[in-house]
Amino acid sequence: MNAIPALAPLLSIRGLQTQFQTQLGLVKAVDGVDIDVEPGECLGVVGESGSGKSVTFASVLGLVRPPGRIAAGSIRFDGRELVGLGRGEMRRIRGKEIAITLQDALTSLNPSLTVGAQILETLHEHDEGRGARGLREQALEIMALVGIPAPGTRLAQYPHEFSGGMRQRIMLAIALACRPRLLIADEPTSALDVTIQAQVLDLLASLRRELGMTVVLITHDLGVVAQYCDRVLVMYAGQAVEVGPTRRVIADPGHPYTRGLIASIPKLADPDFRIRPIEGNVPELVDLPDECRFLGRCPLAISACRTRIDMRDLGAGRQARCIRAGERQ
Amino acid sequence: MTAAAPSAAGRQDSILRINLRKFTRDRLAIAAAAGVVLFVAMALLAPWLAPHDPYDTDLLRRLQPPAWMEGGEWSYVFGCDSLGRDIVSRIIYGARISIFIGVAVVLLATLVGTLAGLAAGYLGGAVDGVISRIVDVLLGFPYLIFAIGLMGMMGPGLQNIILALVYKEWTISCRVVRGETLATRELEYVEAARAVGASRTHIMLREILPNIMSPLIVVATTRMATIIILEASLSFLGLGMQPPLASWGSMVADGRSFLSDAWWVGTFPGVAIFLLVLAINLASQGLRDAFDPRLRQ
Repeated sequence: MNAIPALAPLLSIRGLQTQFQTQLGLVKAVDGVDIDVEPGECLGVVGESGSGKSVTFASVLGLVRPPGRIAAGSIRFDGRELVGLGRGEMRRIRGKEIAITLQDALTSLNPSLTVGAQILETLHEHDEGRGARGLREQALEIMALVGIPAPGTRLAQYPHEFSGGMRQRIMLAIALACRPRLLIADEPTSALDVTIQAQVLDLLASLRRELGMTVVLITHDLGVVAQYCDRVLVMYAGQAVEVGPTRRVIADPGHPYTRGLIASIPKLADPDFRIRPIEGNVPELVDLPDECRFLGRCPLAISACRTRIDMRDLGAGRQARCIRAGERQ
Repeated sequence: MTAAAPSAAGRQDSILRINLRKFTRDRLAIAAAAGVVLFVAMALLAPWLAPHDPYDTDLLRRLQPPAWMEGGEWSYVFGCDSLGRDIVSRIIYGARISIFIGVAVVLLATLVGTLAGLAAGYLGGAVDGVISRIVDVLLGFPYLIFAIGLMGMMGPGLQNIILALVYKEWTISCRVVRGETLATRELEYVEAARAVGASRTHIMLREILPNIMSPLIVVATTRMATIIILEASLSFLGLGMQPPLASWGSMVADGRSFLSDAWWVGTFPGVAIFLLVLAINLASQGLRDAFDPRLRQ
């Protein structure tokens, strides 16, 4: 598996702090996250709502708006620093180099514009001297690529004339229009039926192979990660708590939160299986003490957990933010 | 939602079209819209429709009563005013002024207000601060008094009436657009457009504007009626269109002095104002019902 990669990471996030100034205080939505995305891999990012996974990748594209801001850290894409990049330069990266599909496919398309117009606009924003006809042909090509039948007719239709799965395909078509090198798919399937989910994910996997794209798949579904991702990053309360090759992490999770996530997946095959939910809730992200953030919910907590906990190397490309990681249970 | 079958006929089913189709099913609104169209046709065709020259004075016909009264003549159906001018012809010509001013003010004000509202709502920050404070200050003045003051400073005339009304009128559409923009900018598709590298101008004009057209059209048509009344009020006060131009407002003002012995001089132009404003209001209410079911009382 991906042991120590020889290539430089395509995307490298170091010490990222994204904060929101609210009336309740400073919310540290992302608090010191380090992530490396290797070229060509599919990285799964899991965590519950509010764990900071979406905000982390919104930060990459500079999509965090006031009152939110990137307070510290560095985001390098192909060696180029993205934090503090001017608006014009950031626009040239968005869609062209790095594309993101947002969570809700059903509302991410403009209801007043035909889908053709929306795909063409992306192409147009990053146009490099191709004529209008060239752009249209490219739009048709990309629609065929994401498996939309009769793209010529569909191009002139409005989003409400498409089903949920088809709309997600359109979203992918828009994201892929300029053949970005990195695709960030933020919960691409959470608004879809299970059967459609599998179709869209399979499509994503085959597109990734065809286009040689690097993919970050943000999801709360570990099952999806297990099936589609080379590596997985688990986030909790604004921090990365575990990272490693998917199979190993799932077979032998190093962090009790990851273990909890795995235990809370229902298993159809085993009728006696009882879901074991993780007790308690994610802590408020305001004024967090400098201690393990999973402390209140952790079955393994000891007094030594009441200090600052850093990521610990577990070998074989794995890391976990737990002082008891690596102990055998 | 299932795979929506492409509608049989045209595929171009934008929300605007669907709403317009809903509008055509509202009989009262359609009748009112037809009334508005009649007034517009009257204004456009005035030179051919008017039986007499509206400026042609004839002191022998001074205060001649309407046709059905004693001393009336069928070629001067609504009678004549104090200078012997045909009232029907003057009402027909007056429609030009009322409708032209109404349309011009609403178009200009909507254009300015939409751009300002989009900028305030989408860009926010200092831009919003400045625009919103200007709007607040302007809204603090009573409309008519504000317009009277401006007309007093600028002097009468068609262009000045339009400007005097636009100076304040744009705040209405600005407020509506700003509010709608604030709500729309948070929607996923705007975020999605940002994510693929759309510029701010592009987002404001192509992503947000088409989605707030419905309330904007409704407000613009409703305001048209108010503007026509305001123009009539200014002309009534002698600050609007100047004689001998036929404006409904100044015709009513003319008739005021003869109300006891020649009621027709002021009444017929007054009825014209009433009918046009009523027709516009009913039609715009129909538009509102078709475009925004939430607003139905």
